[in-house]
Amino acid sequence: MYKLICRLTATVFAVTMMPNLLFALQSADSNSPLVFRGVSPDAIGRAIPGGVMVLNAAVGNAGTEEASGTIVAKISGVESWENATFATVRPGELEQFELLIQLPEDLLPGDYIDILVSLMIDVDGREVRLVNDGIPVSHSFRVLIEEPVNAVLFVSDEEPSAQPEWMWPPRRPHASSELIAAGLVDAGQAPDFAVADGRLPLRLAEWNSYSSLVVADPQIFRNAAAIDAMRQFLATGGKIWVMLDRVPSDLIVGLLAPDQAIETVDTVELNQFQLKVSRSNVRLSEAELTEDFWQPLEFTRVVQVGGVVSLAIDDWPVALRMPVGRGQLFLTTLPAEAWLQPRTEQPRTDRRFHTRFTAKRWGSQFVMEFNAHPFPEKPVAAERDFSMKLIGSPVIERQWVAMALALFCSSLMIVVGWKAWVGKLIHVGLLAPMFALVASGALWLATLGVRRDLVDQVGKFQLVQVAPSGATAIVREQATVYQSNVSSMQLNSTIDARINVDRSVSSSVSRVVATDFHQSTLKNANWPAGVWRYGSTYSVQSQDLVVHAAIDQTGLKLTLPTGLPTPMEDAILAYAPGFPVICSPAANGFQTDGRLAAEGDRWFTDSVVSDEQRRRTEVYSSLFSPTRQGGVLTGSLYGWTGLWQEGPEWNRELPTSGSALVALPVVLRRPEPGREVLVPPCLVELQQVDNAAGMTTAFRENEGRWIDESMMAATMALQFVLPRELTPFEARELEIELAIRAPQRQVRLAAMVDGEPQEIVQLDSPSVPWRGRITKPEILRQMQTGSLEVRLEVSELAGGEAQIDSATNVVPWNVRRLQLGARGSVLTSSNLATLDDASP
Amino acid sequence: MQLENLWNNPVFRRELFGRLKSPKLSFAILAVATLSAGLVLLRWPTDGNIDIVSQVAVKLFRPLTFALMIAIMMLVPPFPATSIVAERRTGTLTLLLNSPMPNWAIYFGKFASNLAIAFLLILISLPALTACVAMGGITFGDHVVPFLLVLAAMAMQYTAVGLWISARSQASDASLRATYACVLGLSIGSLGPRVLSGNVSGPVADLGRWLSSLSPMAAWQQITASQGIVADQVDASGYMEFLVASALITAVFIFLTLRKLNPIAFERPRPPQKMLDATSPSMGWRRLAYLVDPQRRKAGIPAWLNPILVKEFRTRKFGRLHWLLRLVAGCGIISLFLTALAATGTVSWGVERIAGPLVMLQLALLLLVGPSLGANLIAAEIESGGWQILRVTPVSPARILTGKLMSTVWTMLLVLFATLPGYLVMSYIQPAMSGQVNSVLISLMVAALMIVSISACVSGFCKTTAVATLTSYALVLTLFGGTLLVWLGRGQPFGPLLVERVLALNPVAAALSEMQTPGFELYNLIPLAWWIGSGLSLLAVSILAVRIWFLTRPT
Repeated sequence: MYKLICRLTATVFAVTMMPNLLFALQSADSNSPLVFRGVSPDAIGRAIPGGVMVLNAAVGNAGTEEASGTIVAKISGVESWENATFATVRPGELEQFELLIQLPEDLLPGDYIDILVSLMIDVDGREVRLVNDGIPVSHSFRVLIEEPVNAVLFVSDEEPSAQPEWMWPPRRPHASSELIAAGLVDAGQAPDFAVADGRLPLRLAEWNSYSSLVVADPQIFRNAAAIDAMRQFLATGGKIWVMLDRVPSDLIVGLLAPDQAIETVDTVELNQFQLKVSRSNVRLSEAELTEDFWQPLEFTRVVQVGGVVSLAIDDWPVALRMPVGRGQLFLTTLPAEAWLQPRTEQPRTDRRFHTRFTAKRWGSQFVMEFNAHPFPEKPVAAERDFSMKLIGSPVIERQWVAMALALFCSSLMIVVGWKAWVGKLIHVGLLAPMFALVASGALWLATLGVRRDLVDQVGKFQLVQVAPSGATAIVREQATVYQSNVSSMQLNSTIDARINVDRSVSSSVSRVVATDFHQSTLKNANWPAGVWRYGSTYSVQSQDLVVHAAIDQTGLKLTLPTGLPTPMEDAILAYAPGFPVICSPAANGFQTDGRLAAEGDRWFTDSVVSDEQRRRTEVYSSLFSPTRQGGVLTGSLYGWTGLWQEGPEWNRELPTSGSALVALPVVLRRPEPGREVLVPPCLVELQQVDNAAGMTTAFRENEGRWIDESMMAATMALQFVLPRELTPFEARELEIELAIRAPQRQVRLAAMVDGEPQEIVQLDSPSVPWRGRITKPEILRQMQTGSLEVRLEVSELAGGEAQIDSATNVVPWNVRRLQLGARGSVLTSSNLATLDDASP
Repeated sequence: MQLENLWNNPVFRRELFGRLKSPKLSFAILAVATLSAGLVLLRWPTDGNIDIVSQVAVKLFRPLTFALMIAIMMLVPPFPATSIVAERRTGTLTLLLNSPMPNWAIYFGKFASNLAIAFLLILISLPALTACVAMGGITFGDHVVPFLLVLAAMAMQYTAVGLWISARSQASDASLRATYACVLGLSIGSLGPRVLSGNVSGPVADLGRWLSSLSPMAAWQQITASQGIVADQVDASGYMEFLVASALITAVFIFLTLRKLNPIAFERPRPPQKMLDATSPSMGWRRLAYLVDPQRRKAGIPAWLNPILVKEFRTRKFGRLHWLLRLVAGCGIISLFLTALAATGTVSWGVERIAGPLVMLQLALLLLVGPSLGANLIAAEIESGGWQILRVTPVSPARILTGKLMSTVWTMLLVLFATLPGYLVMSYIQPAMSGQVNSVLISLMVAALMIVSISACVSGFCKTTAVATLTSYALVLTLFGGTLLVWLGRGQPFGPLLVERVLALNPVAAALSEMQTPGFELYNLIPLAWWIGSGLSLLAVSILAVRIWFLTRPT
């Protein structure tokens, strides 16, 4: 027993002390003047799987000359990965250095990780740990991995001043932070959020830990870099909630898309008001919508363009959403106090989920929307094979193979023809095998000349998303590198980039070193042989990368910008949600009549598909998959170009191949009034109409898609909305297509004319698409304002409930397509509504 | 020495040279060469690079080898299947067997000549197979040579089987049919027990595994490392097992055929004629069984009936009542089979899985019956001289046209309706499918219409029935099968838009897409395919009408 205990003790000692012994062996008493004072997590850091933590390391210099070192952080259990930053300290000073730590994606929420931070110095060309007074200096701390739920960063306004508890009236709560906490708890999350304290992360990688930002302090908009960071955050799918009762609306102009605007009219004080809720699935009583406050509230009245209003008072927006890039801008104009009410019942017994307040019923949907889908799905999830498929060895060119085989076949044909002519077909039996052997030999010889082993190379896939302004682009790069031998590899980046390496690269240690704000390197002294994946995300500055779209009698003409690396190919227009269409090449760009929907395997018009197009098909299928939520930028033209060259590069010359999928914003030009144009269906957005009957769940408006199956009868209020640039519109003819499968049901489609339904078509058990032209003046007149409201009714089963009970299965119905195209002309609009880019 | 003996074998030389002189062999050589070369070119990488992920070489090797196997299955059996029976029909077999040559020398002369032709066809595919090797990932040792061995074994096996059946048959066409049926049974049918018993242990599964060794499919899957359901099912046997099984089967059939090639065995007495007493009580049963007497005198044609229609039914083999009744009975059996298939398949596998085979079965029936009926309409009249009689009758060209067409249409409808119960069962099990079933039926009607009208149109321009039938089959198969071949090449190399446009020519593809058959579910072919199909039919009928009008004019 004693021996067993001794052995166990020795084993535990060996296991626990071995790293320290190794440290000691690595360390050396170097007489360095540097002093590693300590390290602490940054206030705005957040530890989530795959996120980025920010550490502040304090390093002093006790010497008389400038001294340098490298601060290195290592996560326990992830021995092959280090994050580092250079630290150069002037004599006699104590300086603070930021160190970004990339957390692995396979960490489990709730687990603790230990982070060991050391200061390494250079001694005789060897990197050793700093030793002070004979003791290796390193600091470690433990971090709890959090759930990747809605991670909110809050730029707080000023808190109400403190006062004694006995003083009356009692201290008012800090309403904005209480509203955020209440919203998080209402969404089933813990009411935890980070407070930015007047400073925002400026590096792209730092934003990876956050899904939303709440701004209640206007001071943050004084910093141009912060605005740029927010803009990039929005472009990559982040959500920003700006409380316009605290922040003047003119400060947020930089965050808006070109076709959006918001302007403060005035500020009024309200004691009593009634809210109007739109686009809500919840019906509220008048009492629930009426508010009466003892103290007046300041209500900022704004006018806006390009947003979707959820709440309003006397038609003045209270809460609205504006889609910007892949993200959304949430704006509220009513003070946070108005949104809150005391929470009477806590949703969980866990005290971590307790808050004093909850959002009022009229505001809960808006708050829930803000907290929903915290980390949007990446635009292309399955693109990783794209770069992998670029790694390969050369084979004989297709034309040579074609020539050899064509020669073989044509020789045979000639011989057969000739021998048939002279009546000696018997010779074909001898000549044909000879030709076959000669052709085989030629192919084999050609192979020997061409085929060789794999050479070291890099394959890249880039997803470039240009901001609506066309001035910046976010590049997500997925790459694969192949090397035949173990060697030292270094990936250098001269821009703000976040670099990831496949965790399977575990030989030696991969270290990411931030040498400057915008410069970083990834080093591995023993990069293993084989195929390895790595990726990076970065933003690049661009200039006017906007597609200008013009509409005429035949459809849409898209003019490409000139700043692309190579001419764009295989373009798909995604203008209205859920309706991507294939574009065909034209002078200076592309054109489409909007009828060739891009779906399934259909992404190109080419009759013969190349290998590159096959790879592109996989990416497009993933990007536009009907099962994905989000990811596709509407109002964009997707297409393929050559690689964008700004990304990280290896320290040695490696042949690089690849393609970039670019999403360019599309700006639609207003046609000349009076000139007839064809509005393709892909430009017409289908929206739900908020009416007394409520909104249908069969149609997902944001994605423009219908749900797969419905069982119950339904009456759906929908509207076709023309792009704003085409209104007012005088329609001459409308073309509607309805593809619905509704066996044993009656389907009725009607247009709303002055509030009354006017039947367009009635179908009995439809299964094939129906197309119809509408020329009735009263229906066409409805399009003048740019929208046509329709009712789509699907009846119960022909046999009623009894049929459902008796049948072996339920009989669902589903809509595959409901679209509208229009022919007509744009009318002259008033000058007040004329946009900058509109024609005079 | 052995080779010299073989070369000096007069039967071998006669058979080999006789076949080498045949244009059919030259055509087969060209077909194999162009097919294999075309497949290679369709799948060859366009960017001059072969990646490490996609296994492009295997993706090329797999369809190429499959096509070559099918080619061997189709091209090898005809000669041995007709070789001995043709000798017997012409009377030369008795002369041969009574010649100084031993019967084994006669047999091996025929056997070796057929093998030589098969090897010639295999050799023609060598450039394509070398191209696969050139791509990398495919080697001669692991892939090409084993596959060539499998092809050689197939050729030997099918030759031995064909010669055995030929030695037992009385007619060439019967021998050919039986040989093809046997080849089908050996290659596909032998997999059945294994597929049905599943990948489990036990005596039944062992038997299934042994039987699956007879099929070259299992060997092919092992060589090409195919993945999939069938591959999982037949994983127990590989190409070595096939080679052994094939050698055994070849040896058995050689032995059986050699036993059969006995001059005495051919001297069979003719079965004696039987005289029946019409008054005997046993004739009662015969009268009941022969309710429809084909020899009975027919009633007059009513005025409201098109006489051409009636004439067609009365003169055509499948138009006569007793044959129609047989056809109805056959269709009834097929219908029952399809219904059972639909019922069990819909419940077990889902509509998408079962609807495809159901539609394809119907197409096969339509393709089998349609062109042979349609191609006879005018050509047979011209060939037999009946057209001259028609011309002198007061029947108008329009009445001739409608009568001829309707006689075929009714028969086709009969075939089509026989398959309806399957869909009714499907609609009952999944009521949501009722709309789609309607669309499928319309598609099949359009397909039937196309087959009839195109065949009839071709018939109007041919002087012999054989040419008309061959041309009709070629045209209809090109339309229905060719479009499906383009579909098979979807994504590599054919673009989806091209595939969709080509499939719009084929109403059966529209039916498959409507039933959401895997691979077709993405294409929107309805109602475009209906319009195109109807338009083509209308065009064909219009051309035929003009042609009939010309033909009825006095020369």
